[in-house]
Amino acid sequence: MDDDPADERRLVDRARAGDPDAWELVYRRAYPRLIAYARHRLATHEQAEEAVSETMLRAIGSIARYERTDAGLQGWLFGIARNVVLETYRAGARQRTTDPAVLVTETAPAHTEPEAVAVQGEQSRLLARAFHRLSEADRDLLELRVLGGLGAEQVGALTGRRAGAVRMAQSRALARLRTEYEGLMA
Amino acid sequence: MSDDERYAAGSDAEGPTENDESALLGELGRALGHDPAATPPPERVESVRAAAAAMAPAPTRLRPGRRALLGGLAAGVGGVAGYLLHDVRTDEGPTASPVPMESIAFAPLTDPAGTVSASSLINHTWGTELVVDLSDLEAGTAYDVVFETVGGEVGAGSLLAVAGVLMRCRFNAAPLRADVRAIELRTAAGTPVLRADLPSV
Repeated sequence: MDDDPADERRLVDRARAGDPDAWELVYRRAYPRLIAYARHRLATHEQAEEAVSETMLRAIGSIARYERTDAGLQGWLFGIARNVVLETYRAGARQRTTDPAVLVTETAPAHTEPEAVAVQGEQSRLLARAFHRLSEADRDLLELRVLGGLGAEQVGALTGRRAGAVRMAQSRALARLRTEYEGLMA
Repeated sequence: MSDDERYAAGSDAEGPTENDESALLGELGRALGHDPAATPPPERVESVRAAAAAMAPAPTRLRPGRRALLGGLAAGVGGVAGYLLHDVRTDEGPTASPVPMESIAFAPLTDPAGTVSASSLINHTWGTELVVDLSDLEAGTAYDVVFETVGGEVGAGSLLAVAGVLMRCRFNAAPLRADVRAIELRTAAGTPVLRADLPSV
């Protein structure tokens, strides 16, 4: 999503006026990260789609109250999505933890050679397993960074921490992820 | 030394560089299912556009050509979207020409099966929309809406039943009305609870 404040302001103005084209643009820009986050947190793809749709509905209903912060529009949407996912949990819709292997097979591989695809797929599965061995705090932080696409300033705005502290915590979480990953590779 | 300075100092030392971290973050993104090229389903795009149009100021909302979109809130936005549209239509006033709607009847398949106080279909150019008022379903239970078509079954969305509330819902699916033969409300286990057999059109 475009983080340029002037561009965002124009987009938000159009969105506040109920411009369907503006909302479609917001939706399409945010969708890859929102669906990845929801898909990772919820049991089924349908639940994830529902959660993203609900996120957009709530955003449409509350855009009048939106005020730009360091988190930007993208961070704002992601904050809504986190609440929607949490409420879905509470409603008992989470039937099981998503199998990381499912996510890997749903993601287009970066390589096209069969051997390279197979290697990459195995690495991705191990990396996903390593990720699930991290603490909840580490996972949450890395999800915001990786799936949310949020920078340190944006994560800091969402979580009430300084950007520098977020960078440090992220670096440590990645070091722990690397350790877990290398342990699985051994 | 600030956190930023400590971070920069750490990155310059023997530990992983920022490039290493970026590469690992990229790999992690793929491993966790992030696909930058992912696009939302067309019917959900339509639903977002319709919801946006519904919240637009009155002159925009009444612009010709928007009416079809107002009827287009898609599967998954369920009750909330239904109330949104209901309000919009009420605001349009008596001079607004209504969207053609086909009344249908649901029959209970279980006891109790819930109450359908109103149900109708809208024959859109992009698919079929079910508008249904439901109550008395088992609270806290999720139900799926399935369209039976000439080409097989197509899911049109789901709802979570709430006690003591009239759930005014809208469900959409891509099959055209002429291809839809029946509609069922089913439990998550697939047990049909309500069914509407549709006439040929």
